[in-house]
Amino acid sequence: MKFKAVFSIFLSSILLFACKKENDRTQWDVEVLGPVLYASLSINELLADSIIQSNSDGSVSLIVEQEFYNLEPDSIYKIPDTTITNIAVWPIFSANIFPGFAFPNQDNKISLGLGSVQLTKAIVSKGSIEIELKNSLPEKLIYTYSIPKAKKNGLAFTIVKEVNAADINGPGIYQGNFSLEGYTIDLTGVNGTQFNTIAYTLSAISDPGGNNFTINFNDIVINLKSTLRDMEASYVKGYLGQNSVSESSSNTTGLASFVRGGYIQLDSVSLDLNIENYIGADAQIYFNSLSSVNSRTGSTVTLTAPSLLQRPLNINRAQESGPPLSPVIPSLHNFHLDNSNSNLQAFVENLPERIHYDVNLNMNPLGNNFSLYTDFLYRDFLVKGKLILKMPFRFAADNLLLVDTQDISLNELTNLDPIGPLTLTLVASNGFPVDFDLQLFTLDENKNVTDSILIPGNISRANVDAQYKVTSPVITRIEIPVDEARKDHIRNSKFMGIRTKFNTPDYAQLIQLYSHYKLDLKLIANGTYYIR
Amino acid sequence: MRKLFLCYSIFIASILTVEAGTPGTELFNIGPGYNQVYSLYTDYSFASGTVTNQFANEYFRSGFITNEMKDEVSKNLFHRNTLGAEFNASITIAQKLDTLFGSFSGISFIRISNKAHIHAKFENDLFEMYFRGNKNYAGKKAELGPFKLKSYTYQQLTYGIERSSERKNKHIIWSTAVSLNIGQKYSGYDSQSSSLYTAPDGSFLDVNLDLRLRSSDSSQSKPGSFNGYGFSIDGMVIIRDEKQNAWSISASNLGYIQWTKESAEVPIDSSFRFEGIDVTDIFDFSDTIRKEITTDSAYVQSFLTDRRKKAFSDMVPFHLKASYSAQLNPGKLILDIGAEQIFFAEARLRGFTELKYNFKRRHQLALNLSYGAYTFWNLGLGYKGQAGKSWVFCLGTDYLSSMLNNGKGLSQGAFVSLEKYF
Repeated sequence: MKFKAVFSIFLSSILLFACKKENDRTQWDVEVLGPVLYASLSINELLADSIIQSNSDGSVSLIVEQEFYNLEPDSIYKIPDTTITNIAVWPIFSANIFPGFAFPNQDNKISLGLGSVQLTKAIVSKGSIEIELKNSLPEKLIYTYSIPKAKKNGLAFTIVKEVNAADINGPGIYQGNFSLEGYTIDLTGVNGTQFNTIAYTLSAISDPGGNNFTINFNDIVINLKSTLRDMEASYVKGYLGQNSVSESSSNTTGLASFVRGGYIQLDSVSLDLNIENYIGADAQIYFNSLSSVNSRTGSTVTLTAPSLLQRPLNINRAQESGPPLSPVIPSLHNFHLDNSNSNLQAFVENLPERIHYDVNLNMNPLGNNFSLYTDFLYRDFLVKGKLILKMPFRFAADNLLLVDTQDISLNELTNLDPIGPLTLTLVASNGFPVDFDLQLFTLDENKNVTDSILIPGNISRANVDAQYKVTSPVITRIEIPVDEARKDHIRNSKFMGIRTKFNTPDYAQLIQLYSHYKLDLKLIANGTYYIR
Repeated sequence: MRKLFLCYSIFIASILTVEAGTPGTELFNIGPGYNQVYSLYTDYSFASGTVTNQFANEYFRSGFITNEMKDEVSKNLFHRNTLGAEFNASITIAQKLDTLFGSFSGISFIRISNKAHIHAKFENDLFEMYFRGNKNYAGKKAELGPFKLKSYTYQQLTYGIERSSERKNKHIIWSTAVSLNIGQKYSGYDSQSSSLYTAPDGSFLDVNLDLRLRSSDSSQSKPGSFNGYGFSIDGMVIIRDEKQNAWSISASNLGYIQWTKESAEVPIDSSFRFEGIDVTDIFDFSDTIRKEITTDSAYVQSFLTDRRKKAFSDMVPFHLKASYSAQLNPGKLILDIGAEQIFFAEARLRGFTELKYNFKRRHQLALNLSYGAYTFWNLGLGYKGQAGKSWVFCLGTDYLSSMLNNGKGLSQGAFVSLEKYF
């Protein structure tokens, strides 16, 4: 044992001195030269929210589609919460009631307060009926509540409930809430000639296992309170009335989030207003106004378009087609605007951050004379309005400034410790006939700028011919020294700001953009990297 | 293994002087009155034709490699560069077997060893690229292959016998052994041809990779892990004449390890141009989409997708050695001369000569001169001494001359052993 101990100490000492590590890993510095990042930007990237259409000659048109109007069914009709109380008394002289005695049925109805809307049928998508029954007699009663014309899977809505006898504390009471979801309700009443009417029946028998008792004149046999709550229908049929719906609102275009300055001139613009009516009722739309609002410049351009604005636009009723997934054949309506029939170009050149509209919708302008209760409305198929803006990408830009902020996850790039002094070179190969003044900012968590990465950031436009068509790209090199301070800014940044200012040559001269135009950006590192 | 042999040679010469008074180079020489020997042994070595000791020390001890250290290595770079490093430790128990039902006499032994071995060959461009970066290669192509690097760590359980006989005035000693190899850790990089071209302005890199990566199961690589198994055999023959001059030839560790199916192999045969990580998405003028930049998808994963689990086998370094031992002054001054080749490694033929001087019956000094293997000329020194009647201590180095010049020397190593006779 002594031998082993001595030798173990000796061997361990040698190994410890021979193999003692200075660091976790071997360290050295290397001088690197190579690409780090690249981006190839065509019009598709620069205008990501738009749909770019390439024409046969390679020229590019911009198509912007935006839905601008969505009608809510509540603006046409709304089923209010409705409560009906039904009380029946013993109509004649006193009598002995034996077990299992059937009291006379009580037929009644619930009338929905829908104003001028007259519905004959509804499919309930949401809502319930709340029932309260009170028994003032000395024996238990068994009630049967039924809506014969409310059916689900072929079965009528029926509930059977026992209500205890009255005692010294008062009548026996039952309260319950029952969903009507999925029920198809005929709203024409008992004889089928009414509308907005839910007919129901209530019957009562004395407890078959109970005792005889005496009932007197005017004793309350039935005391029912029924309440419809939160009713919504996925489908209704009947007459939708002559409601008038007005809406004055604004839709943002998204331009405000990144267009922060400058001017633009366009060649030509066209706008199609498509309206799809999925409601089975005639309607009339009246556009009071459409305005292009630019809060940055304070400029508002009101659309002048006699064929569209301030005149009634008749919208025909849709047709029911039947298939559950697509039960409606909409009526389609298109209104076209361009430079010849409107001031649309000025409307768009205003670079609107939002479009304000003021519109009225009048249902059934001809009343119920022709439809005869055949109007219908599916909750999921109403009226859609869509603006489709088309313009050739032929424009002139004067200091058009686009700004964007990116929340960039730099998880794999934030360990900048291994990076020593280096110079980043931004190599830009510009194939656009546009001068870009590009700037990248590092931003803190409050989006305050902590550093400007590119100074200067001018990227010269491509070479062009007499028609301002690009003949060859122009390469610009911008050097970015990276020292410890800049590393700290990058390391601590939470956002990256991108600002690009556009200028086309000889402003007001219109420049056509083509789909093959590209701006290639590449970042090349030249410096020291610490291997750790 | 080389140091093991030298140590044993010194040790045995000493034993013979002290115990028997006759020279020899057999593995064990358990003299009269003794039946057993316990031996503990360890050695390490690093040798290269290119990489300096100082550089290697910093690299293997996770230090900081300065440009001055790189410069010294760069001075030595030529077309084909090699290096090798070893660390070995073992415990041996040898038992004299005088009778085995009268049919056998000799020595049997059991040894438990831990072995670690690294060897590599590489182009000068690979060194410059790896340790200095690619900046100096702007506008040039760096040839990164052929390149080979293997690193093994494994344990061995060895059983062997040694016998001797007399024939025509010749004393013949032979030994043989078989070992079970237990693989702990393996990594190998093998490229026949790879290159990297750096554009003059750094705007792109043309990468051509023909590389195979192999490694044992990385989830368990600590000592005691079982990631492979294999076998090795050893053999040695010594023929000694009546003047005690001796011829010997030995083959050590001819064997392999079959690494388990949990091992990984990544074949890479790819040529591509790297122009940076694509960040086009962050220029989309939309605030609605969160952007993430990941380097994985950009260039790392693109050529690591063919990673597969696969069992494979590889030979372990095998030493073949021949030598002649001449008694210049019998019992006092002995000269060994020989050659050694390490197969399945990147070593060249190594020639060596060693002069041993015995003094005061209990001490021996050995001076050796060698050339080859992974490096060039080296002068070494060894000492062996006896303590008491049954303790023998051995200490030495094959690379004394290189170790004295740490900044420019290209090799280093040491061995030490302790033996106890019973």
